[in-house]
Amino acid sequence: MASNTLVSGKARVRPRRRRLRIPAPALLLAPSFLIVSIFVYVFIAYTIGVSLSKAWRPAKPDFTMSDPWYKNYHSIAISPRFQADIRNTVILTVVFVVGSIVGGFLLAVLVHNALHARGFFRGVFLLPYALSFIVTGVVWRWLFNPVTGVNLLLKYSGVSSAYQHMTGHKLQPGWVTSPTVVGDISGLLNKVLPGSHFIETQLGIPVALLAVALAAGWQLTGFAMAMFLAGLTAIPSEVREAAMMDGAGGRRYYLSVVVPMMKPIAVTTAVILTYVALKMFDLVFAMSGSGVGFATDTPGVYVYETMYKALKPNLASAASIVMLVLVCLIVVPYLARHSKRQGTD
Amino acid sequence: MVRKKSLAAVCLTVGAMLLAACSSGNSSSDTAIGSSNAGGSSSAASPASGGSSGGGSAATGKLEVFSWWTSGSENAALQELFKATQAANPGIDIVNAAVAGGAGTNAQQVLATRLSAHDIPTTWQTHAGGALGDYVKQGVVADLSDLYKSNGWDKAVPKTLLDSLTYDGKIYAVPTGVHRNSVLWWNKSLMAQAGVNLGDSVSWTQLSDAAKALKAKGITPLCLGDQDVWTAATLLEGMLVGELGAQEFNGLLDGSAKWSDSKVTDVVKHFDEALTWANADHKALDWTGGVAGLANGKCAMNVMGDWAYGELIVKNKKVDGTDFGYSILGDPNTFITVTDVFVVGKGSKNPDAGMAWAKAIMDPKTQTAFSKQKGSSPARTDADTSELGAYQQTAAKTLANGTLVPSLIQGQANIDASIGQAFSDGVTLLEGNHDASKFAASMDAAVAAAS
Repeated sequence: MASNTLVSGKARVRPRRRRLRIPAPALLLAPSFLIVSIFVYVFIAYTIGVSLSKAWRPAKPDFTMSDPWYKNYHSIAISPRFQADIRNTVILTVVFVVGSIVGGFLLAVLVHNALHARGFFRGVFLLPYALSFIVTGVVWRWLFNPVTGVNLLLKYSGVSSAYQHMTGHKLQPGWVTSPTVVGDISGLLNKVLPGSHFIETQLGIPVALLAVALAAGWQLTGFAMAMFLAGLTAIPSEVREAAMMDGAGGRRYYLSVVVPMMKPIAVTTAVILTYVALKMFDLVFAMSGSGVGFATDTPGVYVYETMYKALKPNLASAASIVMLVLVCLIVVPYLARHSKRQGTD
Repeated sequence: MVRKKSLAAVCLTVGAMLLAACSSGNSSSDTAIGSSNAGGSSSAASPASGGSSGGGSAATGKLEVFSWWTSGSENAALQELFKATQAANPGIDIVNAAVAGGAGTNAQQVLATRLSAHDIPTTWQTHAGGALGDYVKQGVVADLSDLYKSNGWDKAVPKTLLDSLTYDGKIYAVPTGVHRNSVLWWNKSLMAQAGVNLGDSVSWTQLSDAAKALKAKGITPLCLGDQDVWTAATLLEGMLVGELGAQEFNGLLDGSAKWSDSKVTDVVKHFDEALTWANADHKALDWTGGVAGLANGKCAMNVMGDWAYGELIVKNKKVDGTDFGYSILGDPNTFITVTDVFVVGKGSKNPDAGMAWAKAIMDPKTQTAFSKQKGSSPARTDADTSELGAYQQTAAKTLANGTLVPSLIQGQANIDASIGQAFSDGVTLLEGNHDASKFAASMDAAVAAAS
C-alpha cells in the first residue's frame, strides 16, 4: 500500500483512506464481537436464567423463577456432595498448582543447565502435556489400583514387609480408593462459626485427592517447565556475570536473582493451571470417579450427573455458575492487572 | 482494490453471522423451521416419503434410531430389531444413531441438545419410569395407547411393567426386553470348598453365615467392582427389596414409608457390613471386574443385574449350573425390573416409520430374537422362551407370574429421577462415613423434595 501511495500520488489516495479508516476496525471487530457476545455472554445469561428457573427442560424452556429466587443455589449449598466438591476444588487447586510450579521450575533449572541432550530431556518432560486427560486418568487408575498397581512395587521391593515388621500394620495404601480425610477442621469451625452447622462435609484433605493431584501434576509439570525454560533462556548472560562479580555463586544467584525474575512467569503459569484445576472433569472422571464419600468428586462431575442423571438442569446450571464465579475470581484480577500494566507502559 | 475486496468480505461475513443468529433464534419457537434447518439435505426427502407412506401400511423413508447400544451383545440385539423392521417395511431406511457410554448418560446429552433445538428423532431409547416421565412432561413423545389396544399388547405385557410406561392413563413406550436386577451370582466350587449351600432364596442371615464360612477358608466372600457407585447401590437395592419386601420398598419411594424407620436403617447397616467382605480393589474396578473376579475364583459372590449372565457365559466362558449358580435375595418370586424401552418422537420427521418400528419391536418373534442376543427376558409374556438359556427361562417365568419391582438405581420407577441420584449419592457418602441414619435422612429429604 505504501509503494502504491508513492506511485499514484498522495492527493488521490489519501481521502479514500481517511474515509475507510473509521469503519474498517469496527467492521473487522464486529464478527468476533458478535460471535463472542452470542456464544459466550448470551449463553452465560441463558445459563443464569436456567439456574434461577423452577423447572426448565430442554424441550420445554420454561423460565418461571423458583421461589425464593435463590432456591436452587440454596439447595446445592446445603448438599453434602457439592460442599465436598468445593472443598476438593480448593485443595486440588492448591496442591496441584504449587506442585506443578515448584516441580516445573526445578526441572527447568536442571534442563537449562544440562550439558548434554538438553532437547531430549525437554521433550521427555513435555511429552505428558501432549496426552489427553482421559489417557492420563486411565493409566494412573491402573497404577493406583490398590492390589495390582504401585503397591506391587512396594511389596516386591520389600518396603511393605519392612513397614509391617516395624509398625505391625499392613502397608497397603488405597490411593484413589482411600476414604481417609486428614486434618478435619469442621468440628473446630462449628465452635468458631456458630452458623456453620450446615456444613456436612469433612473439611480436611482427602488422601485420595492427593493421588489425583499427582496425576494432574505429572501431566502439567512439563508445561510449567517449558514456561520457565523460556524465562530462563531470556535472562541475559550479563545478569549472571554481574551476579558473579558481586560474589553471588550458584545457589545465591538462583534464590536472589533468578527466582525474582521468574515471578511474572510464575503468575501467568499459576493462572493457567488454576483454571485447569477449577474446571477439572475428565481426569477425575477417568481416574477415580466420585471416590469414596466424594473424596475425589469435582463440581464438573456434579454438574454432569445432575444434568443428565438426576435430570435437574436448574441445579446443574446453578453449580456451573458457581464454577464460573470461581474462575472469574482468579482470572479477572489477573486480566485487570495485566491491562493496567499495559496501559501505564 | 485489495481493501475494497476485504471490505466486501467483512460485510459478507457479518451478514452471514447475523443471518445465522436470527435463524437459530427462530428455530426454537418454530418446530417446522427448526427441523428443516437441522436436517439439511435429508429433510428434502422426508416430506415426499411421508406422503407416500400415508396410503400403504408399510412405512418408508428414513428411520433414525437413537440408542446407547454399542457393545457386542447390545448391538447384536439392536440388529434383530432392525431386521424385523426391515422385513415388515422393505422401503425403510434405518440409520443407527447409537451413542456409546455411561448407561445412556452420554446419549442423554446428545438427545437433550437435539430436543432443545426441536430436532426430534423418530425414536430413541430411554428408561421406563422417571426418564420417560420427564419426556412426557416435555411433550416430545407420542401417545401409543391406540397401538396397544388395537394390537392387544396391553394384555401381553405384565401390568406393573405397563404401569411404568403409563402417564395419566396413556402409554408412551414399547419395551424390548426386561433385565432382572440384583441377582446373587455365586462361584460353585468356592461355595463347595466352604461347605455353603444356597437355595433359590437367600436371607440376610444365610448371606452373612455364608460370608463367615467363606472367610474362614480364606476366601473373599464378595466380588464387587464399584468404581461407579451404581454397582454398590445395586447390592443395596437387592438387600432392601429382599429384606423389606416389594410393597415396603415401593412405599419408601412414594413417601408412604420412611427411610429413617429402624427396619430400613438395619438393612443399610447390613449393607455397610457386606461391603467389608469385598475384594480390596473393589473401588478400582467396574462391574465387569466384579463378575470376572467371580469367574476366576478370586471371590465367591456377586450381586448384579442379569446382564452379568451374558458376561459370565460369553466373555468368561463359564457354564450355567456347573461353574456358577444364582439365588435371589429374599422372595424368589420377586423380580426387580430394568426395562429397555423405545419411544416414538412427537413432531418428528417421519412418525409413520416410528409406528412401524414400535410394531416390529412388539412382535413376539422379535421379542424372543432380541432377548436371545441381549440376555434379557421378553417383555411380552406370550413370547416363546424355549430357545433361551436355562436362567432366562426361569427369569421369564417369574416375570410373567411374580411380583415386579421397578429398579430404583436404574431409574425404572415412576418417580422423579432425582430420587435415584440421591440414592447413589447417599451410597457414595455411606461408603465414606458409614452413617446409616444420615443416609436415611438424605433419602427422606429427597423423596419429600420430589413430591
